[in-house]
Amino acid sequence: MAEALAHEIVAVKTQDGQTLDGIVVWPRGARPKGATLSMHPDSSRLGHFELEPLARAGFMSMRLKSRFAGNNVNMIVEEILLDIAGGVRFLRERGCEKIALFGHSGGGPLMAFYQSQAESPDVTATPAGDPPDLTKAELPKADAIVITNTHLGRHIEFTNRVDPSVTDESDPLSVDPSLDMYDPANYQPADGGAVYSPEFLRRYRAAQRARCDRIAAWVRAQLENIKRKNHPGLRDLPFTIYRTMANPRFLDRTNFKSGMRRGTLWGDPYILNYTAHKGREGPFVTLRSWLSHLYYATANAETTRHIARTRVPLLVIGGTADYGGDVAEEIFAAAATTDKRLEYVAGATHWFDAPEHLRQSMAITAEWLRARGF
Amino acid sequence: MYRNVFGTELESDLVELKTEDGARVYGTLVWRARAQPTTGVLSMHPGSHGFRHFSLDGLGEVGLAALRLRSRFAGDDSTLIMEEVMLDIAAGVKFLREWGCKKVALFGHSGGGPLMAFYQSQAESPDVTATPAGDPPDLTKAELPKADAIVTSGAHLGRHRSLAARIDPAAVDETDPFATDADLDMYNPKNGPPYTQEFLTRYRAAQLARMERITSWAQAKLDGIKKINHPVMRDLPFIVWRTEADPLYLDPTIEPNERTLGNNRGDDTFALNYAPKAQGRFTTLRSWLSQWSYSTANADTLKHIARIDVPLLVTHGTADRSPMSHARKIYDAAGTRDKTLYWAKGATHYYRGQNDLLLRTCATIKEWLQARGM
Repeated sequence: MAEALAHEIVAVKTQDGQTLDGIVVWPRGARPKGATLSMHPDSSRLGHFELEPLARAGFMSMRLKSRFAGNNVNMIVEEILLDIAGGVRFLRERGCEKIALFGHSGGGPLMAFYQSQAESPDVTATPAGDPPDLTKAELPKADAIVITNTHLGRHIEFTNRVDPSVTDESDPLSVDPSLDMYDPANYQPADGGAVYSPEFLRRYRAAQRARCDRIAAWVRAQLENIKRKNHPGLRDLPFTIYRTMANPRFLDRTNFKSGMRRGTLWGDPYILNYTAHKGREGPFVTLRSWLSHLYYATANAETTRHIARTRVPLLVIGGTADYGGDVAEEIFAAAATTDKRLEYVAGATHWFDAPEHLRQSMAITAEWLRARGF
Repeated sequence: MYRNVFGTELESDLVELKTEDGARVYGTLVWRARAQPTTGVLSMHPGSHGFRHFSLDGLGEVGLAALRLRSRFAGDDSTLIMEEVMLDIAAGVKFLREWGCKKVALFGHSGGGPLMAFYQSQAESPDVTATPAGDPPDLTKAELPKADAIVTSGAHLGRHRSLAARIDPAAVDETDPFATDADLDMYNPKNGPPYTQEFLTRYRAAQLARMERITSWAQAKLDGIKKINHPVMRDLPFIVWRTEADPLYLDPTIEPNERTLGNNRGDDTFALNYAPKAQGRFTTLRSWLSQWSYSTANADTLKHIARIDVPLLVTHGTADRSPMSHARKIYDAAGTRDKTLYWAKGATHYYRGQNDLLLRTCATIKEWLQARGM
């Protein structure tokens, strides 16, 4: 099958001088007019599940690595919009007349944010006050958005999983036992997992926001301090955030309709919470990056807020065995476009691991794109 | 398809490999269309992506099968364990043999040099049974297929040695990025450039002292964690400020050659020194001991190149900002009788904008391999 497809590894230039790695796949010998562009804020894998199936269905499918691929410590989400713009322009130059943004997982909020700013830009700086000014950037509009197994925004995910039992940011073992979700005193054991009381969860969520607020206050004080010192080279600082894998949802699935198994996509949450792990949010971040992608009160890339600002056709696909399936309806409901569709793939996990689930989701996508002239 | 810098359309494949310990590593394989190369070259760096690395452009152009593999730590070296990267290289060697290469050469550019020397030394006569922190893998029990030759390119002598040469000894307080000993500050004009021999002697000693202070602190912290006997916490992240301060960046009389000032990561090393994200900025206790610690790291180029028996070609650009003395030392230390030293006249570290020089070096590599039946 693969021989029927052409693959090309490409370099894409952005308007602010970055060069990004990308891959484009299309039916060999064809010149597709319809295309999809897929990106994640920091995943560095170029192969992605939709590339070959959508190319076989006749489209040009592209996956682009953002400038922060593989390392998000200094990630500025607003800069990534310039990366997406580079991808859209690249596809237009290749002759594609219809381009759909394909946002999977953390790519969903990114694509919603992009299209909202492409249609009616209103973000003039990063939360720390830095460039880019998106109202002055060249952000070519896409023609549709496909969202699959997406969350509501990285800052929301982060806030929901930061461990509120940390009492001292400089001590990775400091703990308020009454806020420790891994302490058996705080839950009822249930079938290998846990059930937390509504009272505990209320207290817990409030304490999570309070921890984020404390970090944010410290971050702002550090930024003020840097400004005051007026150092010629130093304008941002890295710092560590301990214990960022403690969302009660990881153990308690009672309030969710999806059949997602307990745990996380990356392993045992308790171990991850105490591991200097890589590839997730934290333990390393910088002051300016914190405000752009992790702090709930300042981060811009929020799926529902931006999906409410776009007018292009929207397809939302949720796997019913993934958290993306739980929030698909919320994203769908928030969308302002009149041309929107919500589909579920029964039993599908985050990456549509089962071939039948992948086939179904790709068939839905291809048919939906074709019906819109792609 | 991969259009290289010479405009040639090479065949390409995205490669996804599973290592013997279950990690996934990704890479790009290129080769000349309609050719069936029987010699493969494996290019890898411990921490960088190098997705469109010049080794693909040049080695593919001269008719070799060139595989650029990204280690499991590509893009984020904060938790890098050098000994684990050996298993990634092993997967690459195995893949090239299965793909049809009768001979496999290792291509170690920059920080890839120590990596390849370490690999081949352990493949030929393994003697490292654990990481410096006492963790797996035991390389004497790992399956490390031997390569048939090693080619280095602008290689340095090991991450720990490279950091020891550029860590800022004027940073006197590991908790305060601003704290500076003015007498040890290479960026303070009163100290140079040019720098006096007296200053450099004091400077190099202070660099080693800072390295040792961090190592002692890391070892004490690790002992502390072991004593606590926490059920899952076994490592801690930490930050190392100011790591881009080798006097040779500003003083062309040190290691004189045809280079321009700056280093291979940028022209403005003062800004790099204070950048929130830089090579070595983020690390963990166990990772520090494996890759950065001067007194414990294993991947030492000279030590391992002395233990190898296969043919060795050392290449180095005469305009490389990485010292030419490194190439001379690697050549001199090599244990193999079949060794060659090649100076790439006028070449910089990455051959950027130097296609003719890149082609000349790669043609030299090809001829050298051919002369050895590869």
